[in-house]
Amino acid sequence: MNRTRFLSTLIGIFSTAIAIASGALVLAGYFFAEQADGQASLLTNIRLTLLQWAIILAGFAIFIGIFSLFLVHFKKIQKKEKGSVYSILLIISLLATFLFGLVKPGQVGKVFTTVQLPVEASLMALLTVTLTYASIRLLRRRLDLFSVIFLLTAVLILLGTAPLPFLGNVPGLSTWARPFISHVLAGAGARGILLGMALGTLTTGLRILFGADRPYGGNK
Amino acid sequence: MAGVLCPKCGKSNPAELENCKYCNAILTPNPASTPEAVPDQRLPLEPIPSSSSDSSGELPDWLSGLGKAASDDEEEIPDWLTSLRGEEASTSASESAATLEPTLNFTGSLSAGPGGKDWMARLANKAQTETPENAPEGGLQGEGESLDWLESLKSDSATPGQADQLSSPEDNEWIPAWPPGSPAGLKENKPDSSEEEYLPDWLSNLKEKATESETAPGEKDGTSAGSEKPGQVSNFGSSPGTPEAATGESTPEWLSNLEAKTGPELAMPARGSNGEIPASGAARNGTPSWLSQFQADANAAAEQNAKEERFEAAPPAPAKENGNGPLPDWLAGIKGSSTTSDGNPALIANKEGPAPQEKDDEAFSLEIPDWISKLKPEQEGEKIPEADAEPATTGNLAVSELPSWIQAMRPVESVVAEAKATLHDKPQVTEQNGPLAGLSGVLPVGPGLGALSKPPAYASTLQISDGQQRYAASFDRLIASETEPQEVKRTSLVSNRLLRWLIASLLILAVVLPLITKIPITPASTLQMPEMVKAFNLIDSLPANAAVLMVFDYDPALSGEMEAAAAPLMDHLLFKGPRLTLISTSPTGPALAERIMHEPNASPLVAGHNYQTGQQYVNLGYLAGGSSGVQFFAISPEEAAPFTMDGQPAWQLPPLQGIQELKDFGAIIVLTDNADSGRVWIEQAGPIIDNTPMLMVISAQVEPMILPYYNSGQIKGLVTGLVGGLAYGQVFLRPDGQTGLAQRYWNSFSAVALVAEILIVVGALWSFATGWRTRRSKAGEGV
Amino acid sequence: MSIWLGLAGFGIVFFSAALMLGLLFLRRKKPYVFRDIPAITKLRQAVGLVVEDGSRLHVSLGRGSLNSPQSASALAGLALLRRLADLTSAGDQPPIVTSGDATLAILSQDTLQAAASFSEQGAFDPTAGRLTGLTPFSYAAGAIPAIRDENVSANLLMGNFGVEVGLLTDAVERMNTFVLAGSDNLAAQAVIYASAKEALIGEEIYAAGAYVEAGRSHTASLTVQDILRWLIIAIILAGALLTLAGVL
Repeated sequence: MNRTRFLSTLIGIFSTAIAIASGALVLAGYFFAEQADGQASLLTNIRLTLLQWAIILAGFAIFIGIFSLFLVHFKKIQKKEKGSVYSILLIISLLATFLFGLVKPGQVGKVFTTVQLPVEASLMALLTVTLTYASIRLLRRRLDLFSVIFLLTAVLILLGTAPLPFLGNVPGLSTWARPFISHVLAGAGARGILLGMALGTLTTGLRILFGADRPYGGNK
Repeated sequence: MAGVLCPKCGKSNPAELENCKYCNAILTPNPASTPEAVPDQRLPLEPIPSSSSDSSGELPDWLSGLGKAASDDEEEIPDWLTSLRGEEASTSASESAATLEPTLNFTGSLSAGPGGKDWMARLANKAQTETPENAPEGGLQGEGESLDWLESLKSDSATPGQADQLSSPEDNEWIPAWPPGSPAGLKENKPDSSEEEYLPDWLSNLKEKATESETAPGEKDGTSAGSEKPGQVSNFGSSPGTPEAATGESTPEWLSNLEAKTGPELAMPARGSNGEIPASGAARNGTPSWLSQFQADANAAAEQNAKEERFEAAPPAPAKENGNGPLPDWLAGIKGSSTTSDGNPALIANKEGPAPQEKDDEAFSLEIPDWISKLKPEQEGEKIPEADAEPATTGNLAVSELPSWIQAMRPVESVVAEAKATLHDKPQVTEQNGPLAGLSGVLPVGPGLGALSKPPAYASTLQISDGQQRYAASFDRLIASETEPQEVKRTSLVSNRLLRWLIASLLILAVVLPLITKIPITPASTLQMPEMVKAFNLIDSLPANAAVLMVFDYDPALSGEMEAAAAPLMDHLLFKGPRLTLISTSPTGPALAERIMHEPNASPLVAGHNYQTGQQYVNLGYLAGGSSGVQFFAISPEEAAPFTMDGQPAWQLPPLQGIQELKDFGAIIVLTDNADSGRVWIEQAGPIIDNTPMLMVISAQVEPMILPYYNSGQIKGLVTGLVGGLAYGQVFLRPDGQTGLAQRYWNSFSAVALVAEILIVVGALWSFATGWRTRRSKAGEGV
Repeated sequence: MSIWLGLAGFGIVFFSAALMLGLLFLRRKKPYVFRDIPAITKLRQAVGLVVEDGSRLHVSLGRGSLNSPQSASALAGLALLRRLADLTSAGDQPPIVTSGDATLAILSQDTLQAAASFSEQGAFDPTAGRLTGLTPFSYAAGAIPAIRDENVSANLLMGNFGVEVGLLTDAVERMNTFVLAGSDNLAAQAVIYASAKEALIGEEIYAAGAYVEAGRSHTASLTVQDILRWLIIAIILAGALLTLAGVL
């Protein structure tokens, strides 16, 4: 038991050390990318190498994710849980597409455009209905000033974006109101939010660099 | 140190021996014997260190003589003893006998005064009629027993001058049963009142108390010590008694010899069961052999019993020093017992010094004699003879001095029983009924304790009144209501589903009807966004056969909008005959790129150009790594994407001829529905492409995030959503006049937007009213 | 120019790092006081109900790749996942995690495994952290069955979502369960605001860790964010004034 704990502790320390070192090198490679003579610095080369390794790992992780997906649905079929029929369809589709890609690699695109594309487009259309329904019930769920402003803005943008049937563009709405709301108000708000996001991204990255956050398993 | 002469064979034996090593006769004479009574053979006679013979008017002479030092006259042999052995009685023996304190008689020795012959005669008579088996246990209560053999002994020892410490030799003829040195001398004791004048006071007291103790049941040792059996050994553990002062007799030799013996050796010879004093063998002066043998056997038995009763409380015998002669050590310590006021014997003897002075009537209390408690191992060890002594029999084991704390642990029952007996306690009442049935000594229920009666029966049910019941019931209801689950008002799933279906139906109708009817319900848009115009100008300014990089970073779900927005631009671009390079950071991007290039459903205008892969365009496929991959591609595109989607070396194909870096492209067009993806390309590739223009075709949802990049000049042109594509199509008029999907979707787009607007406004108003009414009702209920 | 930009960027990072380290190691006499976020308060209540009624917690981390800047929101979601996994370790069922990125799925499995070592819910189930789809809508479509069929009573949607989050919130509303959603995508935030019961707008997703007491580092980073935000505000205002004044 002590040996296992020692090994896990050792692995945690090792993982943390690798994460910190890699992050520090990539960050330094971003800031000190060029030498005085304009040539790429050593840190740049290290950064690129590490990034390539990360890309390879991310690509390999897709296989692991697909295998995990397969395992989840297979277990669901084994246990005969609710919705296991759809799991059967998923596994069949997965294997069929994979085999079809092996047999006819040039025709795989047709499978994509024939099946996946319409399905996702339909989901997007469903989202339209969902958002419309959500907008209708917004005031019932959350009755406050911001909800009213939200709905009002949504209506104005819709009115300014798409002209009215038989009427065309609403005067002032498409030429002034919508651009103002979209470019000024929304844009300003978006920039403020993006700045906050950037700050949050910065501090999150620093937590990873310091080893305070260890999502890779070192945080036991 | 002189040894002890065997009463049987007359040979000298070590003082510590109990039995003669030659004839195995008991050497220690039994000091407690009276003509009538059988001395208690169980009680040991522990030698006490002899103390100086301080005369004390309070103690009998014979007792005071017991306190003499051990050095006193150890060689003195009682005359009576010597006479039993057949030796000439010596004057010294008589002198020593004369100096013996009368208190010695408490040991049961036949202390004889000058006129103590009669009681000895009685003892001798009784010895003949009694046997050791018939002697009552534990006691010197063999009053009725006669010592015939003593009578014979007495007749044989007749020289008056041979009075030893205890008595004349002829009075102490039975004493040879005692081991040598033991306080075998028994004072003379008058068996009856007629002989009292010849008995020492202590002996007469013993007689009296023995008489009293006979009336108390359960007594063992009893008060027989006060009976006519003078110097009965039972006095050690029975009634207290203070032996009277001796008459000035010197310490008999047997008594002084008793000092020299160790504990068990100094113990009294075990009396027989009949209480007989064991004979010490044939007297030297003619004691019949049968008598001697009888005595030897009796001594052996008595000795055995004495060992068992070693720790029995012995009546204290305060040593009364009369100065007549030195007392044996074991007697000298008997100066007083530490008896309590009620006469109960003290269990812890005072080792420091002589016991406190006791009254004569308490001489024979149940306390442990001091001489017993004062027995010290070293003193006992001094008396141990030289090493040539044979190992003693079981009766010769040395008894060490009991420490006070052990003495305190002595069983109390016997002592208490005796104390109760001497205290003339009322007879114990045995409880006949009740939980204490069978037990004795139970306190009776006397007055004041209340009459015994059956306790009243109380009802086990709780007696509550009607009002209390009502309160309890209401409280119970109150608590039950708290624990009852509140019914959760769930929103009706049916109504929600109907509303969704309604919304979906309206929206579908709004989309389908214009497509089916093809009625132009919406006039064409006249809006021309500046960013769209710039994009148009840029495309229009591209040279022929320019290398253009196109990035397809949108999802399949938004392919309808993106294809409609990008088709006019791509159509315009393809009219320029560029060399296209397609790439995507999304796994589905390459497939979408192929779709728009070849699928008429995606864009018939673009598909109509019939671009061939590998010839006019290359598809580099999926670029992994996100922003890192984009940066890598921006720095070194050939290394980041060396192959096409078909696996061919991309950078050797005609579309990528002369392309080394990203800035070698004529234009970079990014098609994305994600602001993050667009931002990545702007931020990663923008600093590298230098003057190469970057255009973007985006979804309407990301316009607020991407437009600032246009405003900052990082993007040279921007086409936003279906409206932008429509506007671009209105600007770029194809020679054949065909229009794109945007134009086709415009009527449906307008209609569905209107329906959505209506639904949102009406629904929001209705929801507002309903929610306001609900909250108002809840607020009213709360008040 | 690029060198100066690089140095400026490095300075900002270095200053932020120094500030965070100082806040980490310096002890305050008084604890930090942050503004109240009702959504996180209700999340705590929902998690407690999950443990009480023996149901399950569902956490969705979005589709942000670790190779992209959108990984920050995913990492914030992972930190919250770890904290919630510890809180629900006393419950009957472990939480399930869905994600639209393979690396996120692996990290979620590792986080659940670390939390499972301290729980009494039995051995760790690797399928508790799963990849439901590689595209946004396929990921949303794959996560809906987890919401509907896995006895979930509370949902936490925190990460990089697009507009497809509306499908998830709609599924949650159909099941009448609790949902707390937050994304770094603006369009998704708009959808979340309209469709979710509890929404985190803006950088509140990065503050959630400090509110659920995930560690002192989260508190320190939140404080650093506030400090930097005020600095940026000051710089923007100064720049605007200078621009108005014609200096810039």
